Amino acid sequence: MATLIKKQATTDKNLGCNPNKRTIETLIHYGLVNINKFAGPSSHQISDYVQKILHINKAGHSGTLVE
Amino acid sequence: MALDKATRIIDTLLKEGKEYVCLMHIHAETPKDKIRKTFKSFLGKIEQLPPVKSAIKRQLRTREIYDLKILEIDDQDILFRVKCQAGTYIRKLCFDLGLKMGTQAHMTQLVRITIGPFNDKNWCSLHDLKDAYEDYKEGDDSKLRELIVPIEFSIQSLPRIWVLDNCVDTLCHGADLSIPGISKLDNYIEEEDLVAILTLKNELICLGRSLTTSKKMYKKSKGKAVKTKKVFMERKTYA
Repeated sequence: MATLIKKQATTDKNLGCNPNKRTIETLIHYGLVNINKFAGPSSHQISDYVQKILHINKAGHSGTLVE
Repeated sequence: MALDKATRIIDTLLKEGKEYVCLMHIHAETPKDKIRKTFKSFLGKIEQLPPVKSAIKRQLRTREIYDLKILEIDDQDILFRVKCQAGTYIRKLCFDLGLKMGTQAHMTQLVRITIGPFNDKNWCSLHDLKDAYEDYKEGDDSKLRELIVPIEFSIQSLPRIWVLDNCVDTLCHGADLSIPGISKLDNYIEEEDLVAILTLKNELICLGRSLTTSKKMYKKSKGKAVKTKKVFMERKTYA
């Protein structure tokens, strides 16, 4: 496994932003959080809680704890 | 959980391999070496018929078990760890393991511990999240920064193509990626692979299906490289 460099190039520092340097506000609206969902609440409920805690309009889940 | 604008990455995450810890109960006393031997035989490709109550068509299909490790055998209870292809029914796996051992068996508990790069070493509770958010509101965002990862973290396992600044915005509008726009790329891309297209700052622009191999993308000077499928970056970011 290796990276092939086809065209050596630089990137304009005034456009976009390195993911590691994103502001926390951006992360809250464009990031992921790994929640340990214990048995009880449904994934949908967890999704609601997360939205309430972080004051965002939408959150999606990608996995559930199966009993 | 994917937050707000990152919600659309969920589809992709759902297809990643999964890892679980499972507790199963067998209905008859079985010697330990027979148990171990049976488990070993289930590594690799297995056939599964989805359960009666399932969202998908009920026909025999192949799933792959990447790893199956027994953690503890306590009388007729077996604790094990399994790494498998998405869509594998663990409950059915327990049932089939029992059958092979000549007895009945059922799953008593199941915990998912990995989805792609997310696992039980980097998860947190709702309380942790709430506390971290409270700290942030009071001026300290360090805890919240530890818990929320950028969307790029979730696509680590996908092959990548980095593009020049001047073609980023057209990609944001849904255009396909042409070979002249490529700056660098991973060397193991095959045709029809799901690939991540990134800026030279490592930001995710979009996901797409490759139309050709890495070798060809590297050697050729024109033609289409990737069919754009899902755009994540906002338009005008690289206007």
